[in-house]
Amino acid sequence: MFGRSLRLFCLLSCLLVAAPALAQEGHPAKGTWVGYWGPTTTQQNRLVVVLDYDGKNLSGTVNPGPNAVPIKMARLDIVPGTPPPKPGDLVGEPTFKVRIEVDGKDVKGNPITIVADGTMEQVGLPIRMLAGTWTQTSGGKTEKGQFRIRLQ
Amino acid sequence: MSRKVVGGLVGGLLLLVMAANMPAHHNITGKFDPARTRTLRGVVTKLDWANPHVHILMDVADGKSVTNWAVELESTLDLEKSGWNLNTLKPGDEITVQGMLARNGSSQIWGDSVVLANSNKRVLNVSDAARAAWLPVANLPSRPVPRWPDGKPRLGPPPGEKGYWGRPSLTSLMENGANVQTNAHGLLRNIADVDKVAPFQRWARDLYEYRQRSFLKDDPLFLYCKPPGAVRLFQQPYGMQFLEDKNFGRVFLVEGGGSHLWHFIYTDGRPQTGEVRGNADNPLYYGNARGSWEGDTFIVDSKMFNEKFWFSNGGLPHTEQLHLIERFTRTDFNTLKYEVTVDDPGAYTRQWTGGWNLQWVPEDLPTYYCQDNRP
Repeated sequence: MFGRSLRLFCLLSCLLVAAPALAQEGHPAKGTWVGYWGPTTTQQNRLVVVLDYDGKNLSGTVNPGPNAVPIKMARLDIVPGTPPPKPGDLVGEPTFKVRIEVDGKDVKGNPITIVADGTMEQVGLPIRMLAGTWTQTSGGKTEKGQFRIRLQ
Repeated sequence: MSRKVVGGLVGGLLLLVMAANMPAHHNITGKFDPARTRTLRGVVTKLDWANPHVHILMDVADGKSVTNWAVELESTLDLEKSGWNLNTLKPGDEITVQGMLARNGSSQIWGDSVVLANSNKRVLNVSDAARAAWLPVANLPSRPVPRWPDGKPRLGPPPGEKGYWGRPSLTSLMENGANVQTNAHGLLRNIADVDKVAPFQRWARDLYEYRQRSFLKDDPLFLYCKPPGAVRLFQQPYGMQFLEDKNFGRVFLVEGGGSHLWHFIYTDGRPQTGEVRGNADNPLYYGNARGSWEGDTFIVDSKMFNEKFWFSNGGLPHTEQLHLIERFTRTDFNTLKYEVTVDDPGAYTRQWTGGWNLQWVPEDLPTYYCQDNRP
């Protein structure tokens, strides 16, 4: 029991210490995003999205490794926040929208297309979230759902 | 308009002006709201005399309940320079505190004014002398540039003396010729000046504007004590120091505040090495730096920075493609001219150049540490 608590404590401590250490202050979409997508809250699929920025374009991979599919197009659109209601107030959080399009082959060689439209949350902080809609067509079957991934 | 309303408006305006000129070593309006002030009267439970900021904890009775408030003050360094110490207040002292409330609604207040109730004496304020200690001094006596036996200017003190470079004439980076006003933390006086600061790419511009409009509240230097990497090292109130190691062909640069990090500039002709994501030879926050002399100017070529910090006060974004050419010229004993060319095709549309002067401070580096000690 004590060992389990100690392991949990160590894990939580590592996570807390790691949070700021993994900060990404450059392009807001760049990095490795980890989470889930699924058509329902009980039917969830593990999701890893790796995005890189070369100075002009975003590129990357969905689920790197044996199931990797390259991203055809990824785009960041920043919509400024609402102006502050009065001088001295904080501005409304801007909307950082990310669109990802995938058009490739899945692990079985079937054509696969993915369109994901997400919005970042807490963009100013090192661990930000990206959440939105995920539409995936593979093997003639189209599934729609929600995704939620966190910058690592 | 009633006298009370006018008084309130004038008071609010004064507070805003005061907030803009406060000596705080970071932008406190990201955390505290100048438009929401309060006066608290209560009893001290603890004076936490620690870096990066001193805090008073005080119990404030409100009807039947008692709330323990945290009163945030300046750094230990600023308060000690003003004649205060950890015995200035003791548990049980009754005080009145006036200041800005935390934006997040927590029981935190910035201590604009702390007054002892029994003597009506104001305590723990920053004196004018302490405030002036970080600002450039006019009309310093002229002395020739100290030189090494090989004739090159010394970037550090002459033998037997001490000193460091601080008191920057400008504390935010902007393109030469930009007519832009900022406060000491790089916060624009006029948010409409965003596009004048640098030739941003769109995403970088929007991110910079967001950071500005948020009063720099997400600054990793202050949230997590991240290093003032790249250009930002030369904008810090507590200065920096060059230690020239001629025998081994390298120059140490030591930060005066923060976590007193140091890094090397190699002057032995070795090629650029290292990897963007780090290796044993890559200091990451300061890039791989190579130095050489061109006449009396020390030129530093740095690249391979990481993206875990803000490279200038004010929140200018950068990417791993950042490449800096910095030129340091000791124009007289007390003046170091700093010029930097920023080349980052990931965040900016073209190269651009900015700069300012640093002033010689004939003292040891200040004893101040910012360390993220949270569990």
